[in-house]
Amino acid sequence: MQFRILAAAAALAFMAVPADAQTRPIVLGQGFLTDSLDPAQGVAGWALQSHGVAETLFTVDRQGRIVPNLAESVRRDGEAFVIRLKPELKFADGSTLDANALKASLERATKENPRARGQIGTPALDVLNAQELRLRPERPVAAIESVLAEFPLAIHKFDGTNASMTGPFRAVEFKRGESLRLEPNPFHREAAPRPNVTIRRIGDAQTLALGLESGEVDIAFNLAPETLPRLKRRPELTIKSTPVAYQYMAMLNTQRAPFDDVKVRQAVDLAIDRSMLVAAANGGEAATGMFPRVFPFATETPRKFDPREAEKLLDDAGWKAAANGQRMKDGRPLEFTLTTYPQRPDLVTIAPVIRASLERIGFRVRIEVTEAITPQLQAKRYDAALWAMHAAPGGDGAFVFEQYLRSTAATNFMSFASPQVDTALDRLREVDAAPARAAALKGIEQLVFAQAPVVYLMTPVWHVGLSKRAASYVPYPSDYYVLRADLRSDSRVGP
Amino acid sequence: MPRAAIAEGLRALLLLWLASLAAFAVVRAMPADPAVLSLVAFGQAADPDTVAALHREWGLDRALPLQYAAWLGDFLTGDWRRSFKTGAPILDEFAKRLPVSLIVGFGGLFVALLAVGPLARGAAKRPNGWAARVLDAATLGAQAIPAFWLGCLLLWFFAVELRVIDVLGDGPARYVLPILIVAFTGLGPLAQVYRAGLAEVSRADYFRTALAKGADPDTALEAQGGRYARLGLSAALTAEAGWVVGGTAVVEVVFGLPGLGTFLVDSIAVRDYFVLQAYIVVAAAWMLAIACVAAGARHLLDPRLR
Repeated sequence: MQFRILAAAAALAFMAVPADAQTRPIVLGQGFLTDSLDPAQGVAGWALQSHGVAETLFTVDRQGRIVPNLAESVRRDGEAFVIRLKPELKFADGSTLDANALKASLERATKENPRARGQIGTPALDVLNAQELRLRPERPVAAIESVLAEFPLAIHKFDGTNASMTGPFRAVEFKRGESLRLEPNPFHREAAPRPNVTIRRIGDAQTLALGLESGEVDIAFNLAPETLPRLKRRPELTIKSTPVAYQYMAMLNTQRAPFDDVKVRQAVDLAIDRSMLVAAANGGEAATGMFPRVFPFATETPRKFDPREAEKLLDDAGWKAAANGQRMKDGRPLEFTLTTYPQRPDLVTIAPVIRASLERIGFRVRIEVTEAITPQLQAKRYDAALWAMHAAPGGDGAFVFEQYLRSTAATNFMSFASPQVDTALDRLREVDAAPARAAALKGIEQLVFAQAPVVYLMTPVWHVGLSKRAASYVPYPSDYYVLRADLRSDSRVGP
Repeated sequence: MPRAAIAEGLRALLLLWLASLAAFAVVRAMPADPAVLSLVAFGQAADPDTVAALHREWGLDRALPLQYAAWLGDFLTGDWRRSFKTGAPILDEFAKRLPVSLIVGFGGLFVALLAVGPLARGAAKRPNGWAARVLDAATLGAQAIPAFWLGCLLLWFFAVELRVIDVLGDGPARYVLPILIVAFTGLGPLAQVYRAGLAEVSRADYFRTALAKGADPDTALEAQGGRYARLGLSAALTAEAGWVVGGTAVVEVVFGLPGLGTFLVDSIAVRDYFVLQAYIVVAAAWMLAIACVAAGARHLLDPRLR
């Protein structure tokens, strides 16, 4: 009887392992998948770029620099810009990407997608020759390379039904919400043997780890930290961790007590031991400012950790410590609610560490976990909120300051208003050269430090789990480019 | 009878209209602007021009009563609009995803029903026997063990340790574990109701009379109490079947099933107004349909209603 059970189990196990296990596509498991194969629809351009299907004229490299991609160069021509394409570019259907095709792509993107119009309005486009296109944005643009690296302007050719793009992979089969099957784009400018890839959307972090353990997933993107000890015990798996271009921070609502007092905000900035946050999150780097160190415009000096100075600031602000250590002012305790959200598990992990740091100097902190943080921030219904964001999506640091710290910005969740910062941002709009922009950004950063509407915490690391078949995969410091041209077939991966 | 049917039909239509009104009001009362949420989520500038352009594209730039009237008109004519998030027609998404949720939900209830009879009869006959213990443990377990945790545990055991199923399976096999989990969570409430009905009958004088006449206990229990217990079961089943549309979100997420539940979860986070409005109306219609079927079943089972 036992023999029969064992035999049946063995037969089932045999059936479960596909015969083509060594030649099947590389399976990439991750939490997101494009909703469309048309890059002009909604945010599909972002996902298709991440999937290695779509490309933009410029891109952001591993060092956070904006570099030419499909474009060879761009030069200013009065209020317009002349974009020069790289030679002999082709779409994935084999047709040529020249200045006329580029014009058609930009026209369609700005017509179809309000997000593209948000970048350059409805531009005037003139073909100068086969390689060059003059683009005159509807509104003034300073860092044009950064704008041309944005996903709404992904370059594509639309035949009325399907869009053809230029990335190293092209779509073969798409099941919305489930999977995208890709094959190498034979017309890509960097010819190389690349594997077939299937992207599977796996919404749950535990399921993603289980898929890797079961051998069904070859690249498990952005594993939850709590799954790592278990996965690291498996010799057939490799875990690679890389700092990313995201930054974790605490936004302080400057319209609400106690953070309507700059001294209290500065005290919070000084009292948090960022090395403890890194330890709690199982990796990462202490934040030096708004930008992770990968960016050339990042501030290099570490943020100061000085609880004594923080206590002095609170004393000066009138918050006096009682016998039990709790600070009070006019009969009110120094307390606030720290809001975080589960979609970034690291933030939930570090919240108690922040509370411990602050309670040591007399704060009382409640932690609140909410499923939908952005609506709460938008409604300004919070005291302090942990937040994770890409610090320079298009490779230009002005974006986050413009969006989060300009006094009139729709997403100025902190209700921060500083005429100095607004003026500095106005001046930055006139600056083109990258070194000058970097210097200006560092200057703005100092203005923000002084007012402390936001406390920068840490740069996280992301963890990618790899099977032996994909062990050579090198993670990128962003989810904007998960599949790239450098993914190669090796001897174990069928083309 | 026709007048009663017409009155019932009009009542159902009134309820559905009220549901559509409530759906619109509740969804629009949710804090946050979907345009801003969408821009922030993808690192884009939420400047007033872009936000206004998205509002125009999504039809959110008109007065609320006009928006409601236009949406209701479109909805009734089969144009459920497009999802803000996916850009796909919502009706198509529902048509594609609803069967997945129904397979999981009804599959689970069906499997649960297969076990309800034997367990409930055994527990009713011997309150301290093995069937009663299994049933009590299943009821307690279903309440105490989160479906999410159970799903992960089963996946780990069968897919990672035994490797007899795939975590990312594509065929019908991918439904087996989700259906078993739904069955596990539904078994306790259903079987306890059925058991209570049978137990009540087993204490009745007429049942003892039947036994005194020499009837077989099993046959007598089914003959005397089966219909009564099924009446209670139909009420419990109505409640369980009510959440089949969208209520299986947890297992859908864990097992990566593209059902209505996962669509709903994704849509709430981004305030995908038209998806949420459509879901509430569909859920209300579903509840009404289930209530109608349940009323029919009660009519068949309870002679007092005829």
